[in-house]
Amino acid sequence: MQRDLVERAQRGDRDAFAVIATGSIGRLYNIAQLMLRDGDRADDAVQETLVVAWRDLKGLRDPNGFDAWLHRVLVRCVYREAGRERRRSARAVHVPEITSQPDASRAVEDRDTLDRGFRRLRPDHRAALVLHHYLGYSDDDAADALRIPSGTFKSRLNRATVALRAEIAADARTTDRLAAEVAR
Amino acid sequence: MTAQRDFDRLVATWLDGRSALNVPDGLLERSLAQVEATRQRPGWLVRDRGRSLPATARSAGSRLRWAVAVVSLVVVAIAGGLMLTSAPATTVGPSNSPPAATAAPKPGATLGAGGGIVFARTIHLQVGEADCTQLNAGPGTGEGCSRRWIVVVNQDGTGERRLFPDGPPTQSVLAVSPDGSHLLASGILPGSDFRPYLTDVNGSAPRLLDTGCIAPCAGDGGFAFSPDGERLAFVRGYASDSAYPGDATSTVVAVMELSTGKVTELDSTRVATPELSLPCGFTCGEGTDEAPHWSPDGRHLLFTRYDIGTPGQPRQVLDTATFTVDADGANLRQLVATGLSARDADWSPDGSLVVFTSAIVWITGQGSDATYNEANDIYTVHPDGTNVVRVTTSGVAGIGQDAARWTSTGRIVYVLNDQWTTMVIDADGQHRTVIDPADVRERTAVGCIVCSAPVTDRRVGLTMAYWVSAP
Repeated sequence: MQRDLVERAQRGDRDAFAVIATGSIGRLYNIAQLMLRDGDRADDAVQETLVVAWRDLKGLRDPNGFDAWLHRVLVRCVYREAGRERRRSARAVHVPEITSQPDASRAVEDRDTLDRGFRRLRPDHRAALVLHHYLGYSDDDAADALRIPSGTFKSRLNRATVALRAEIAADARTTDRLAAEVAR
Repeated sequence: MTAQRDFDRLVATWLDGRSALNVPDGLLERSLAQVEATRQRPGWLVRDRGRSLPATARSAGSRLRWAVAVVSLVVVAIAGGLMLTSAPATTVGPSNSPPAATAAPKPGATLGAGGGIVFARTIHLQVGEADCTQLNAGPGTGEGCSRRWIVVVNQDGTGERRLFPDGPPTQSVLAVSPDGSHLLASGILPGSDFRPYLTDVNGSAPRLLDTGCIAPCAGDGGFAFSPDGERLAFVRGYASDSAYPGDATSTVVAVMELSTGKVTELDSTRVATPELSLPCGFTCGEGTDEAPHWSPDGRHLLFTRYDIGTPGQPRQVLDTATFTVDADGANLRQLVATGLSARDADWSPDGSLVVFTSAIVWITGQGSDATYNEANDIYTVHPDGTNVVRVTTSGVAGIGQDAARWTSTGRIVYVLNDQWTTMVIDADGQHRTVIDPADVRERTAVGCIVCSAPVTDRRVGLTMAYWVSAP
């Protein structure tokens, strides 16, 4: 992101912020959609992210760090959106306990399987996976974005990975059972 | 391990494939329309903390520093002024904050007996100039670097030099004591995290001003010395989650006794800030207070309250109003009608008038066709709210933010919306003249004690300038 634009926006230049928003909105929406798995809620989260980013932009100390800061704002808004959804649905999402990790690589040949498994993860697990695998953040940067200690992020990422593999394995077992029933 | 790597690679590939999503139609337009109606919060209230600072506890050492600081301040106060230069302490006030940086910068300027003028100068560098380097920058990209240093010049505008030449290029003048002997500055020490430091006008012996802001306190800002230099007024923000100060939940005007470090929050001014998120939208907040100004007799404060909403009544633009309150928090009163949207008020030198900027905002159209409109003008009013007089008729092309200030001779200085043109006008609207804000000598020649000037897009910008005197 151009530092000059960020500095102009920090001084209240809405046109400069519009240029920034235009250049950022695609990536923001993708991240929000991946974390929330819902287009409408991602829409709300991105809109709130841009408004909060504008409102709080003067608090950004280093304009060169705008992208990372914007992602922190987005993660915050995504969490709030996810929290609203949890309150609305009043439904807990449980991560299945597993004692072993079957090789799931073959099961994910079907992208839909991975998609279903990812959708069933908790929002904080999805966020950890997106920050690590999609944005390519280091553990420290991802922990910073989530406002948690680096060690906590590492364990969260590990739990998210385990949970995703478990979901995929469970999905594969379900598919095998259905296939067997159809064969009978 | 191999299976894990394969799995990670599959997840990464899948996420990349899932990311080629189209942004919903109108999302950008809807977002920007909401941005148009949203006011930026001051930096001190929403300061991004990046990685967490190490937690600090009040140690015996810090208590000792505090005690030494208090004793030193009491002694020098009794001696007749706020003379901090000889105090051995590094912290003023209760030491709840991280300790001050140990490597104090070498002062870069020595003021002569005649005093001078202090301000912050911003220099915009192109990529490749000096130490300005950025990746992926090319000609015409508009990229570059900003550097800001506190500088001091002689009374005639000559001899500009940096007050903290070894400090980081992030320096700001927050306030200057009325006698011009001390200033409150931030960003002057490496790693000082933009906390406020008290120092003399030679930049020597900066001391952390510890206001005791600890979680859930999110930050203090808008500092103003009382006329006798013994107190500081400021606004304190509170956040429900200190890791996200942008989510401030309330603000309150506070007064700090510099001799004791005691901070009194004026409870009558405490307001809940609006929440952006649903279900409140822009409606639930009582406001956000900013920028207190002392009356010349030190008995009253003026401050602006932004973002005043009405629960249950959604609307696109929140109200702004100016309030007066006694220094002990009594007699809170709105200065003029809400419809005038009064902000940035300041007392005249004799206390008989208040100048404020009326910034009336409205939005025409809806959704992506929404247009943001703002009409700004300067008014004066008696401190009791009577005799409102419109001084300028510039309207839409009018006054910039944080702009109207009194000169020492009772005239008004203000800056136009172009963020550059600086005007001086009599309190009755007569004799309006343009002055060159880049010429410090000309700006101060109009008699400003505190002259407002903009940070600009030009290569060299200025901020507020203050008369200072040699310690």
